[in-house]
Amino acid sequence: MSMLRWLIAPLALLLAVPVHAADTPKKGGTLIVGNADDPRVLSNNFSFNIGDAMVGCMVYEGLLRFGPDFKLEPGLAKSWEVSPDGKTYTMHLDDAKWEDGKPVTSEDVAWSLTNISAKYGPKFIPAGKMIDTIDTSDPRTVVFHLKQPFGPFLFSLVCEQNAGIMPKHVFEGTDILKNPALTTKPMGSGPFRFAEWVHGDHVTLVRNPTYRRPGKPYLDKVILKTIPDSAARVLALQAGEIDMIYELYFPLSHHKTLVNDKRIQMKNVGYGADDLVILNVKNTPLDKREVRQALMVAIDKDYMFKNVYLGLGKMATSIVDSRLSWAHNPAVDYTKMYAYDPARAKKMLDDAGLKPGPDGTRFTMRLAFSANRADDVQAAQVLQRNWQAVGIKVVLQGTEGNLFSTKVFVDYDFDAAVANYSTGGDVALGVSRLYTTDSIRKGAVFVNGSRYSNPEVDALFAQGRDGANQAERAKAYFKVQEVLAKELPVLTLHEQAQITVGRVNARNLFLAAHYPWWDEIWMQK
Amino acid sequence: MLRFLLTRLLWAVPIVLVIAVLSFMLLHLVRGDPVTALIGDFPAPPEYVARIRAEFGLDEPIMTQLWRYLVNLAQGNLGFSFANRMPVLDLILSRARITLLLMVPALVAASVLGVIMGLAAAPRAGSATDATITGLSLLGHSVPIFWLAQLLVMAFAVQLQWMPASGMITLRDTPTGWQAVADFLWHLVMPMTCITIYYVAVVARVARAAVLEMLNRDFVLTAMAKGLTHRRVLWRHILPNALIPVVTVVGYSFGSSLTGAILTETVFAWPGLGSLFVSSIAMRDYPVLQGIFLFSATAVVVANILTDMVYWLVDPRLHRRRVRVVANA
Repeated sequence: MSMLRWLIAPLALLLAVPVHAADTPKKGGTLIVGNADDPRVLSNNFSFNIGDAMVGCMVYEGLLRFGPDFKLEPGLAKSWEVSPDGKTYTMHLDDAKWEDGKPVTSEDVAWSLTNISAKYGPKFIPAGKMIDTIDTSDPRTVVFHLKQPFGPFLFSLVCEQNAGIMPKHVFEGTDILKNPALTTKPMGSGPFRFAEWVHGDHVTLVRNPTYRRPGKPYLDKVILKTIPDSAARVLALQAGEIDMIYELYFPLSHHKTLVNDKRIQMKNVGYGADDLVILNVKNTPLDKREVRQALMVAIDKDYMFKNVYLGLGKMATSIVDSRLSWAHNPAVDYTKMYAYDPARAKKMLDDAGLKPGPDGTRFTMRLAFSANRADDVQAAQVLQRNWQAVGIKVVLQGTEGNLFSTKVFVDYDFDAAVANYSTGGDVALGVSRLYTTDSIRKGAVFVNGSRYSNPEVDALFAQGRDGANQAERAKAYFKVQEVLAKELPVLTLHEQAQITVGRVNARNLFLAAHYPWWDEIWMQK
Repeated sequence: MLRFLLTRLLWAVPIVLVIAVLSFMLLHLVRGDPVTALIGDFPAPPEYVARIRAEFGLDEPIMTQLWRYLVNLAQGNLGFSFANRMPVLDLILSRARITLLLMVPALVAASVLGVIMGLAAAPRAGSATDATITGLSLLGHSVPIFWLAQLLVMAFAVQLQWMPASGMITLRDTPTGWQAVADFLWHLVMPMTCITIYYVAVVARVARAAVLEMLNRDFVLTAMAKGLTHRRVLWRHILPNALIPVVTVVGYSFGSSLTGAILTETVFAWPGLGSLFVSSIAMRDYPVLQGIFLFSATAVVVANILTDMVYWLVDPRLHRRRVRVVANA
């Protein structure tokens, strides 16, 4: 009997393996990611560059990380509490070690967030400004005391938000920007360690054997390969030389070629970015709300979605991208409020006192756009056709992207401008900058270019930013969406598709809502 | 020879200087701010923008920036690349090496093939062979490299999976030792083919014209009359004389090719100067762009001087007569 068992057991194993093997993570293998350019530095805390964020958040970790749907999940902090007034955040650290074996302590957290992230990190600076003091009396507990409640504070503690925790003992007392840890010898606590950087070609990272999460990471290596040309990047993916292209580096024009390819998987990730039209409300007749509404009614949104945006992403329904689901007000719907109706648009313009002249023209407006972006060029052409159909003469003014920013945000020399805004992951970080009075800053790009100013809107955005909890914040944001849906200083048109693509044998690529959880990825043979 | 060389070198100094100033001014006079180009539509706080501007040295008046650039240049310091966090000179030299790995074999192949094609075509001028060779070289020269390169990748890397699609080495399971060399050569084949096809056309056309011209010279007639074989006349008498314009073309191509491989490097993700150039434009990395302009200008000047020296070697008449060669354009 026991003999038989010995014989059967391996057989049973053999039978069992094929059933589960497909879904059982296996150790080993290399993941190759195709990027458009090299990282700048081997840390994510200094820019919003994608290569930086990738290397940086493999080598270092943040206190939290983004789970599915941007739910905040434990990172270096295994748990946390927020005080009812929203001003005190207590974080309990997991047991993590730097590569040299020293423990990651609350001192490291406080020092690197204050001296690196809050100084150099464009995404962290707004949160950094809110920190009053950080209590580090217990090495395993960090207590943040804020000057005032700040809605996106927890969100800002995710590694990719420039909040990777870096070792105090490596950086303190050195010239941070010239510290070799940034370019040749990083020392982190994250799932991977830096191994090699061949400039212009690739960066290699290898498994960190002392990573805090047992059994992780699965991969032996991650390689970031630089392929500047987008078409070449897609070809390399098809040829199997790379395994993944991050959304910003995946040209949507190739979506069609890959979508039916059985070897390829793809997912809409990222925290949202929108195509929109900024209206210069300081110019007549765009200073009239009724005229701005008429412009919106005159836009053939279906046509635009299918032909300009290739049916990818989704037509916008309010100023808040629906991917910021907690803040997005579903009751506001531009596609219903301002459904395409040229006859209605004409009547609205008539009522606003803008009757057509003898040549059929009601007024003339200049439409600025960046000629570098194919989507924007086509959007501008459709807008021109739609608006001319209701008697508005539209002069197209396309320029190189850099000159476009100057024209719109420095010279205010435009009537309408096609632009793209990232949500920054939170209304307070990326959306309010289009509308608040304190975002009218001449010379600063991609802020309030329409120069719309309304105390009610300012107050609502402030409430949304400072709310002690998400429900309270959402209430203010819901209201501001209703107000701005009527005011329309900006015509929000389209929620961009942000599609990351990968080979199907790279598993667990899409566990998180944004960048992958690198330690969870494994390669199937 | 020495005096000639010195004159040429002395002339090179103002040329390079003018290029340095011009490229600086051109880059800086373009309206629009490199910092805004870097930041794009991201919600960057004003503190961050100010810090980047200071880091790039862009918060100073343009003449101050130019003066500082020239002073540094005189000391052999090409500046610091902020995008790459390393000195520009180191960066350019490391990338130029990689470009040379691609360009030297490609140009050598193009020269040899081109000369052979020229020699084959010229004596049969007007024949079907000549028409084929001329037609092919014209085709090779007119095909857009970008298109050809992508076609090669689609056919041989994506569909047939015979060749690698990009890069210099295999990154997954990187081979070592002699296999690494073989792996490199394997990656070299397709980009090199693209560049060779382009330059072979140039060389073949020039070689054909030069050989054709020599064929009617008296000394060729004399050699024929003496009863030398056709082959001997072609290789011993015509070829050395026809080489001079060929050397000019190859020399010129070599100088300009250091950045001329931009398209090929881009499609094949070959991490040379061309790729660096493209990514530096996207990053508005002024010091690197200036450095590349300066480097390629210097390369053209040096290549021209070298070309003149090669004339000296291939044309023994220049040893005897003390002529000033002003041959190349």
